[in-house]
Amino acid sequence: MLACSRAARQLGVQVDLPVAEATALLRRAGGAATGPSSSHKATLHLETHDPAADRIALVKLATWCHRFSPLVGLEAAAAPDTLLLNVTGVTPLFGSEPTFVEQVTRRFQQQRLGVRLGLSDTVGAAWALAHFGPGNHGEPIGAEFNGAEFNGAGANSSGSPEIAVERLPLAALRLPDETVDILERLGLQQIGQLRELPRVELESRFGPQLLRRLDQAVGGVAELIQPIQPPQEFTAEWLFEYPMPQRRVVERLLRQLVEQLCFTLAEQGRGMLRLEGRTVCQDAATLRWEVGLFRPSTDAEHIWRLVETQFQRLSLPGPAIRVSLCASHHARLQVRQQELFDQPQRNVDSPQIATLVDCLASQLGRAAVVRCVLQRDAQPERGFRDVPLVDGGLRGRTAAAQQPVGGLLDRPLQLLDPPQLLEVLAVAPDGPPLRFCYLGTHHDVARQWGPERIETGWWRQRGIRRDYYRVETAEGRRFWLFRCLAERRWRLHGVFD
Amino acid sequence: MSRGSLVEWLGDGPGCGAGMLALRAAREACREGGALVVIDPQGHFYPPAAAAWGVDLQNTIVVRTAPRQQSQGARQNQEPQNTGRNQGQWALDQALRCPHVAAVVAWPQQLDSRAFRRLQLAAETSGSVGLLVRSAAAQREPSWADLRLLVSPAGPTAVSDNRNNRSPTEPATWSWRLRIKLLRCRGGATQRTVELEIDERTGDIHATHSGNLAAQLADSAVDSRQARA
Repeated sequence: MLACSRAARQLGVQVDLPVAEATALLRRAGGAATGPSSSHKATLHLETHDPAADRIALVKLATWCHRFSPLVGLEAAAAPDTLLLNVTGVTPLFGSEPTFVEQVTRRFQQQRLGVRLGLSDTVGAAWALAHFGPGNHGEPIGAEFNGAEFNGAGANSSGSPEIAVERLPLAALRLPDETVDILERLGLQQIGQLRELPRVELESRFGPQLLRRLDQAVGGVAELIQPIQPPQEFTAEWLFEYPMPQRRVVERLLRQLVEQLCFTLAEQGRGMLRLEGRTVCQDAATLRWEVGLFRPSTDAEHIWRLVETQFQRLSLPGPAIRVSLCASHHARLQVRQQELFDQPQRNVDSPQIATLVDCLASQLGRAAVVRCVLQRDAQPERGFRDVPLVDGGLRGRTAAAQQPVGGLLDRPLQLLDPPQLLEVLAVAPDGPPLRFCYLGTHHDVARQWGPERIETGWWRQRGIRRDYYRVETAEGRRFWLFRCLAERRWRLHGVFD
Repeated sequence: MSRGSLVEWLGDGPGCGAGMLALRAAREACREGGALVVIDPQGHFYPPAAAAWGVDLQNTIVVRTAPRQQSQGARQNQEPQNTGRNQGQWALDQALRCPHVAAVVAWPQQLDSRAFRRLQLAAETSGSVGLLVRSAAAQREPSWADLRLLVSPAGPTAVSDNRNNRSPTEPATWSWRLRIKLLRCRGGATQRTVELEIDERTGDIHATHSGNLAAQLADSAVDSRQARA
């Protein structure tokens, strides 16, 4: 158990407890609670620990924290669990340091997150206060579902960091557990006691890290925060002075915004992959639309054409108040040298194809313009997968192409989905139909190949068991049909057209 | 087949192999580079079969114009049939206009004369080959295609070899016979008929009667070029 909720803690579950024991504890608690007075039963909800996901969530939270400070970073540890904010000169904007702490806490609570804060002159002291400061007591916090967990803040506003950390335990120095163990066995409990010992002795016995951590806590050594950059946002917006009913004006303005956004992106060497647009109308719903691109682009003319086709489908429900554009996906712009002569090798990567794909996808939808990738799957319907080309579909190109299996004419070019029920007039015993009716015409089977048994595993929810036959009729037409072994009926699955 | 032309493949009923032949022609057209665009209006195109038939799926863009789940669902639900068809035609036109597309294979439902002419001009300007697979009912409609071919099954292969020695489940021969009738050809003789045999193991197509189809088609291509000149 790495973390648990407060409800679990009240039932006796602790960090570092094996899962089996925690389950047993809860079962006992649940059994005790099944009296007439209590209605709810405690059930254990387990989640596997995923350090990578933790880190991603923390980075996301760090980005969110840019509202409090221009410089936010994660602590430099293997498994960081602390955010570091440089709030020098920031607190007066929020009033004073106590009000700042209060406001930060409240904003976290609004996000349904518990938080412990430490505010000090040095990173080390702030870390120590946050983890072991007065009111914090090293109790585990967790993002509670009820969000009520709040452990107060250890703020050290006026005093120096030396005084702040004086009485804190040694674990507050961000030292390895072994070092803390040895020091505690030597009878040292607090940071203040450590500072009274001669520095030379400490260094020779425990190495340079102990002194560095100590100095970082009291401000003897500077410590940098590795900042997390907020993701760049490319937006363009226009607010009308008065509601604008004329569509032509809105369109002209959209065009200007597209050009503006393209210019900003080009300056940064980025190209647009997806553009989201919003038009806020008076007394009516907001119009939303989006345009996806096959390859990063800053070609305002091309993008405007795509935007225009999208926008023309929408009717303006009321006078427009605000128009905004946001390049929600963007990637580095690939600079491509133009060629003087038409190159002989023309393939899917060419810019002309990109323009075509963008154009088709903006009209028909992203899912309509695809590249098909073969999959190894017994079920014929799942033998391939559509990969949309827009929004960076090219990235999957390197994946090795699955080779088709079987003969050249084993599968029909036209696959009916779902398979059509077939009226069978005569069947050979344990064989294919000899005569069947399709689209009102009777067909006599002259040649047949099969059966080919196709069966999917039990783990498929809707598994299949089919005997496939490829048949050629007396006329020479070819069909692909099967007998569903479960329902004992014949179905036509494909036509060799 | 010359670049910048339209070829109509009229399939005489289901299961006659018109699409397979069109796809083979598209594969040949892509040999010198360029992408293949498949416009699939009904969502029946089955890529594994195309891959087995020698089409490079990496170089193929499939456009599924059948509106399955689209963001603009509300608007399209009003007249799904009509918009679906128009979208297919529009996509076909756009693809034919793109100079780096070598071939477009499409299954257009209906084509009026104007739309057809537009497609022909589009193909001519970009130099790509449009292969339109249609039903035999389209024979009566006007055409702007350079070639119009009627594909029909040629009956089962005459079982001349020793079928009696084989078990009934094992086929005696490994080929598929199709008949192609040249209905229309720019500046060339029409009403010629060719019988083809597709070898299932190698994929080779060879003519059985009426001379070599490739030669005939090459003739017609030359003719059409001369006619244009």
